[in-house]
Amino acid sequence: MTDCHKQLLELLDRSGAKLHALLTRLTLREDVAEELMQELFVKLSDVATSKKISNWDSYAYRTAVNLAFDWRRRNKQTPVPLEGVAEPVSDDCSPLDALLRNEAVQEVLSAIGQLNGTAREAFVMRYIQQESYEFIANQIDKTPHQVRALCSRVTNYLRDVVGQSRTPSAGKERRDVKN
Amino acid sequence: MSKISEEEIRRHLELLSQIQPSVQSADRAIQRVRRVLTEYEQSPKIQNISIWRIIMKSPITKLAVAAAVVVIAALITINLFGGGVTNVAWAEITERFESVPFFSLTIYIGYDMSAQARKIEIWKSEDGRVRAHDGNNVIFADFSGGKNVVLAFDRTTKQPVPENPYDLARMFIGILCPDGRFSLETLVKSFPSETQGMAPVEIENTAAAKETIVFEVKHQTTPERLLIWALRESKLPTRVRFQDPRNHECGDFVFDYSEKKDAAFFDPNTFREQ
Repeated sequence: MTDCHKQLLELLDRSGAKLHALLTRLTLREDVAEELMQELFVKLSDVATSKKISNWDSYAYRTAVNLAFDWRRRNKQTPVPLEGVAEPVSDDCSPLDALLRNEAVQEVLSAIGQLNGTAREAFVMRYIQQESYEFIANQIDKTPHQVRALCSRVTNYLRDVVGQSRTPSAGKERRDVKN
Repeated sequence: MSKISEEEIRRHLELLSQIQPSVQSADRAIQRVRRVLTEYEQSPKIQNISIWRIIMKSPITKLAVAAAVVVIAALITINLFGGGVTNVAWAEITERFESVPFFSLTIYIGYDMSAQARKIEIWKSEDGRVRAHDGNNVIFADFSGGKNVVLAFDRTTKQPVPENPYDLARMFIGILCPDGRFSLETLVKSFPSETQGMAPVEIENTAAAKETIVFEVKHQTTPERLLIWALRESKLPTRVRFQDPRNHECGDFVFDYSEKKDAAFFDPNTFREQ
């Protein structure tokens, strides 16, 4: 077994469930999250042959976030019709189905997807993964204070854009929240 | 339209943070990755890692030539699996393609509905030389007069780019041009037989329909497929499209036979002196 293969299997054991949960939260689709998990580790495997990665968890996390938002961007013009969503076993709508149908939640996710790399990464880590500022700072090589300020700016940005996304020009430009 | 309050945003984010995928889904995902990693470790060029994927993700500097070879390899596969009248037509197309004195090929690799695509350009000269542009790399290959030389340079500094141990291009070039000419047959044995075979595709009765033939090749175990457009009259392929619906990856290969480049264009020394 090569070192790279061993590292990836260790990463899978250590953080696989967490990464899968992250992908589910960002795509709101379990089936898509499973697909993206495979895609994520294929990417990591490709990278492992050519790069020396010092922090696999951080790299995997960043790649997962990018994959999920890339998927959202590719699929935004073809939203899943209600009949395309798996039928619930009972009449009770699952929390995931409910969120999938929640337009405001979708808008929040789409707006986050418009952000640039580090801001998006930090914000998702803080508010969707519920990580501490200290942990995030360590992952993205910033101070906790900087992370706090970054998240605050993102919140302000979301407050400005969510709810207005049905205007014709909305959602087409990349938002640059200063790092 | 009214804006959303900060409290509402936090409430939505709270909802998202509380999502937990089902245990079954998490188990499936992890087992699937474990299986893929094991397969990848045992045989990195098979299973879910298509040769296309290897090339798309590869860090090699001479990607352009390798990508061109994939197209040609795909053409061979079509020839192998084809049947009946269409096969004859396809055989004519591959033969015709080999006979053209020069051509250029522009490759766009990216995702459906994405504005960003990687662009690679390749030119073949009358005397068996190749020039390719891939990002900041310029690649020269010379197979004229029995030579077999491949050189890569940085476009800005004009300095040679070091050879990469994972250099697929050099490997493919060796297979493609063993005797100094662009031969399709030599690639047959090297291409994995993972395709279901070729099928002509029905095309709509559009303005160009009478002049166009379209072929399709599907992968055996994945939804990946290739579409190939060719001209009925000249028998020349004009476009190849690779699609992987699983992740929306796609590659477009556009052939052009109209522009003949000067000999100097294929000369690495001229390039370095410019």
